[in-house]
Amino acid sequence: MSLDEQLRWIERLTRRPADLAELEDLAPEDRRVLETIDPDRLRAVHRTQALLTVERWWRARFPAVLATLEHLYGGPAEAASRLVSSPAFEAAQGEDETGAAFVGALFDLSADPDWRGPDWIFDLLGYEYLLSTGLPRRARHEPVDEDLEARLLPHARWYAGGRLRRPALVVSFAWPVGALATQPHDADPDPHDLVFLLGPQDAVELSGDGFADAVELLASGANDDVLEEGLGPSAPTVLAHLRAEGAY
Amino acid sequence: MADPAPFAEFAGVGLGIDVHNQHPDWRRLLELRAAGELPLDFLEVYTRGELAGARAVRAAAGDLPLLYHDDALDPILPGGLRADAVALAAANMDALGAPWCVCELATRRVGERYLDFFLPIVLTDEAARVAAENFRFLDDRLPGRAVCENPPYQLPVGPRHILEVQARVCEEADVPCVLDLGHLYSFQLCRGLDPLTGIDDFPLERIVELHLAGAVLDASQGVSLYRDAHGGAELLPVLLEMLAELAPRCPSLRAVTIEVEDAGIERVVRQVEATRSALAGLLGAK
Ligand SMILES: [Fe+2]
Repeated sequence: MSLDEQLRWIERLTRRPADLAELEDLAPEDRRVLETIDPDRLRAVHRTQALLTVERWWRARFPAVLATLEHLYGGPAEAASRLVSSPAFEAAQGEDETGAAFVGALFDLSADPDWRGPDWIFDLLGYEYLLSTGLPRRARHEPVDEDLEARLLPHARWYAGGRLRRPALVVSFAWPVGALATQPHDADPDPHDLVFLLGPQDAVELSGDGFADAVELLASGANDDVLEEGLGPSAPTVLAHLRAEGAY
Repeated sequence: MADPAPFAEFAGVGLGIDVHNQHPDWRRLLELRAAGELPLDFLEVYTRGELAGARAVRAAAGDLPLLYHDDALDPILPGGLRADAVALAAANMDALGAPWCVCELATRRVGERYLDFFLPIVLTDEAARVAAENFRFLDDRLPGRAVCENPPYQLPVGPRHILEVQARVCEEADVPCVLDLGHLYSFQLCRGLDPLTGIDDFPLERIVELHLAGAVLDASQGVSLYRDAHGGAELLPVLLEMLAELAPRCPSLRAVTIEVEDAGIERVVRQVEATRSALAGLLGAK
């Protein structure tokens, strides 16, 4: 086994100590170096590093999803272990700047037949992803993982042009993501749209009836009469709010 | 241009700092030195490659000698060093006027992937040969010397002792070395060995610098893990004992560096005092 392959094995085993059993499948001369690994020490290093990676990469960006996973798996260590063990971990760019490793790990975990995660977790993940990663990266003109976003937020619609002065994203959520982000436990379904207006540094979140329709109409270039007719009685409040945010 | 003059003989005790870190603020350390409140013989500067940081320290440091510490060279990887990383290390050394660049036997990358943790050198002859080739290449291209440091271990892989591997790298590449006492201790802990096991067979004349740093021993997972915390923790007493025993035996020793990133000023002052008293003989002779 080449030195390069040894390094890849060590990195993988540190994330996935259970793979140590796969050394048995290698030819004796190939496993000679890796066989010097102390399994107890490997597991201890795995747990320690997994927890540190969670803190450094993800805690501030996905706090409510992490709290949910920690509850689901009986503690931070088990949740951290599962997150870094995921094959999606290898998709991390730098310190998982695009979120591909974290979001990908959630898809992997939820594909397990024993998955018992709450129905709302992907709504919450989409919401935390947008606020911490997708929208700030767009505002800073940094690349986002478009395939990942298409999978995580299949019902997201971008609007721009017409009378809109800031690009706007409309996302339909089935669950009360704002409340879940503060307190991730039992929730009743709450289908609603959220509008995110992209600014030069960050994004502004607008929730309430009428914003999504208003954004769609503004992007189509609708004049004031069309707007008022389309938005009904909420038109003055919704439009005043959007104007105050520099949306049109 | 690199100026080896201040390090032509034992220069004393200095601090390893990260220019991006406010704790401690390196400008404050220089003020304390100027006020006579902190004995400081040099700084070892870690810039994460950023030249502006190197220039700022050089401009503020006056006549204080400076060393350079790089962690982006990944000298244990087969396939050679990246030209841009080597060029950046050279430029930082020039900006600091550093006579040598300290670089650990570890990598932050595997393939195209950035790792959240340093992966230390595999403990085999093949890995030593690859690192030696890289260090020889680096030493030829830098404006001063490439100095090879033993990395921290939590999970050694391979049959050799780190001191055997480091000795082999230094001798094949013909480069000097830094012995980081905490990193050495971390390795011995993994193997259940005494703190200075293996040192009698090590080419001590290669050692130009010794490193000390705060650390935490974590036994919560059933095995003893050494967490290299730098200024985030106190110096373990065993490190000061290792220092007192080893420093007088290193004939080429030029510098003893306490790596203090994340320390408050009080801890820095305390660690400098403890280190200087462990080195009383050498410092008295200076
Ligand atoms: Fe060090």
